[in-house]
Amino acid sequence: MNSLPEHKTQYFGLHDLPQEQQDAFAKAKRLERISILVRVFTVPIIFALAGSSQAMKASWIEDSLGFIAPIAFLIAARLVYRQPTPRHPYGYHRAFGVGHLVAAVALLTFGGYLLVDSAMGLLTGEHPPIGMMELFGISFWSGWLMAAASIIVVIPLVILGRMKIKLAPLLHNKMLQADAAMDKADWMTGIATGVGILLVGAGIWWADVAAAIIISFDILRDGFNNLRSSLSDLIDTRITTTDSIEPHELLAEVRERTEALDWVKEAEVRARDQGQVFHTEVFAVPHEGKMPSVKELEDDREYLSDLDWKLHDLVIIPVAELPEEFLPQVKERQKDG
Amino acid sequence: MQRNNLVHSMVRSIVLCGVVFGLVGCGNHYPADPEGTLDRVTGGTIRAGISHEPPWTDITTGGNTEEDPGGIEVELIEDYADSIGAEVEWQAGGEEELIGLLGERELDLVVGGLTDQSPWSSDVAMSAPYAESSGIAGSTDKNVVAIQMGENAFMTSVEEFLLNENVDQQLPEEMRP
Repeated sequence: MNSLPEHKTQYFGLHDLPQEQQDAFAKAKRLERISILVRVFTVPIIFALAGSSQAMKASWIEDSLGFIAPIAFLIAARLVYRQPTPRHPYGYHRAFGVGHLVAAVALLTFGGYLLVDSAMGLLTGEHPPIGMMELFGISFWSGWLMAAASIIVVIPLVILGRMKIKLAPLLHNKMLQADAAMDKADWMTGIATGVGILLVGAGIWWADVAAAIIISFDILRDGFNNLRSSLSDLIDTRITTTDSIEPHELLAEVRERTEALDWVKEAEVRARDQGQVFHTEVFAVPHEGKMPSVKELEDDREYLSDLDWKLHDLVIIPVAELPEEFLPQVKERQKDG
Repeated sequence: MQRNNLVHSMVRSIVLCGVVFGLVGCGNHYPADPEGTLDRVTGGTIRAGISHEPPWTDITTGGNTEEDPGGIEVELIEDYADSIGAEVEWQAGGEEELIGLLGERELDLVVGGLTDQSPWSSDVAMSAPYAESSGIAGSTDKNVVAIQMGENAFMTSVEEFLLNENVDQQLPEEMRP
């Protein structure tokens, strides 16, 4: 392995970031800081206006849960810069996975609590009282302000969400992806709460609880999605696209590029997602009598590693035949013929 | 596909908003009463619970009785009743008993020197504070009346009346905060 890179560019542990990723990462951190700042204002507003409305209670709880992901992101973002140490030879990239898991568990817990709490309100038939309020000497029905505030506070979050979700695939950051998706979906919370309160005004007392139940399901869905995606990386699922839907294209590309090397007869790759970057092992079977020199292997390793910034942690292992115990996909391919 | 979903849900929410305002147009009141209290008491009878807490409510001294009580809040409620052409039927009792009856919709409101710090606020609805007064130990109390949960037309009607009365200025000097 080469000596540790000098700090001319920014590094993720050992991974040097291209300019595009550096910019995107800086922007993502800025957006997450703004998200925290926005919530510092929106949560107290909704909390203060919530009164007896279950939907607004659900809404401010959802809003406060929204603190977790940006804070976890910013903490993890500091950790991943650290160089690997003898104690942490793979670096600190899993920090994102841990933060992601924490956010998922928090969402599931509070989503479940709100769902039960709201369902109880429905069963006991609690009619939410929404009366007059006096502000600066003017008295008016507080429902107007509650509904308006619920809808207005989600606007900055939805805009931030839309900006963040564009950065996530660039950085291959699943935590950012999940956080952005949650913010983007916040418009539903705002509209459900606002409409619920206006319907209570129309005498439909259960509309408020119904809105709260919709929000609880939204929180639970976010929790499940986060849990699935964070766990899948933590238990070393093969690398996937940032939205966790398809196998990552680099998996096939590295294999094809390896097989195109003149000494390689066949090759197979296994790679796991460590957060934003991959830990990649390339198994290559040389042609008869064409075992490459150490220098050649070293050059090829560098060539493959340079295909993408996420591939820095990559090793080539020359083997006599592809080991099925490490590469279950080999058996599958043989079955398919 | 995601964009389609977004458009779809937007259309749905707009339709929902239309339904909301359709309903508003149909009802007599906005906000409305799920149980129709305001319509029932207008020109009828308000069932009011009263617990003894002078000077707000008084059922014993100076010719005041349980059936014909006096006090600041009693006068306010009777004036309110006049404004909607209603009679007040007073029922005296302890606070817990009255709050229980209010929760079971056997009463329409309860008075008794309640404040916005009342522990009953999870069982019944508390009106917006209609006055500020000095309480025990020099604290400033915000005075409220208790109303059935969720009868929002009746509640806002009572609140509007009380807020317009400017009770603060009618309090005797020693009770002002």
